[in-house]
Amino acid sequence: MIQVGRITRTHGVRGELKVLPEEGSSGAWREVPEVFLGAERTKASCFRVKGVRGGGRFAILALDGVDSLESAEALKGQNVFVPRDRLPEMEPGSFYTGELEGLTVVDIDGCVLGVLEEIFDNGAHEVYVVRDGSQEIMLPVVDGVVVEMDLDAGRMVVKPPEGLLGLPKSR
Amino acid sequence: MRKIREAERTGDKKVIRTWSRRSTILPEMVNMTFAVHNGNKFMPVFVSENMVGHKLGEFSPTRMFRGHSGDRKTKPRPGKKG
Repeated sequence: MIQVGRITRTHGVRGELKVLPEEGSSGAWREVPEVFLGAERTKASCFRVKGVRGGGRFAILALDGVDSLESAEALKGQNVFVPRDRLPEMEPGSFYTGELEGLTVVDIDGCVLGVLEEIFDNGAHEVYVVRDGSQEIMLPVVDGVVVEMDLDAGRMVVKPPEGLLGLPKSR
Repeated sequence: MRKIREAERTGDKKVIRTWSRRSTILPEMVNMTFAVHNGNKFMPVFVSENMVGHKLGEFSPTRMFRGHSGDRKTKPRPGKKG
């Protein structure tokens, strides 16, 4: 299940919901026939989508069974999730960020570096933030760094640039 | 600059740690990785050709929005060498 947005408020009086898509969202979720709403992905409940409209910063979501302002009010503040298998397939070598977050990152010697917790773009390339307790490693996503990706095993093999692992946390 | 020249001469690919966010990216720096301080920690910046003329600090954000967009696209290009 991949988080794609959050319901900020209701829209109108017919039970429509205003959704703020997450930063950098591809918008692929707009095509899915059902979404899951809830505070967490494990406790989310399924709703059939009647329609999604609005091309600006927000999307207006209409759901089956949510036809009144009162029923829409109850969903305010919920996160919007979609199952990974409902999103369109990516071309080979590309992934949804939600698929990669949570992978165990190991180096080419088999040493566990931590868990991939965050992905952001620094303007030059993407950076994978790998954390193991208080230890944090930032990996630049450039050619040669990610050696192997095994989503089924939940594992990513990387070859960090020389000298990156020895960097002090701060000064 | 001394470290860059040294790395260029020896072909060393080691990450160069710097606090100098105001340094302009020069053609000599292309294909090198820098760890640029953002006031809190060092951020890795791999320099490519189209970054020449910019400042190192432009690629080491000092404020971060921590969103959770799960349906963004990422392309790690597994297995390729730079």
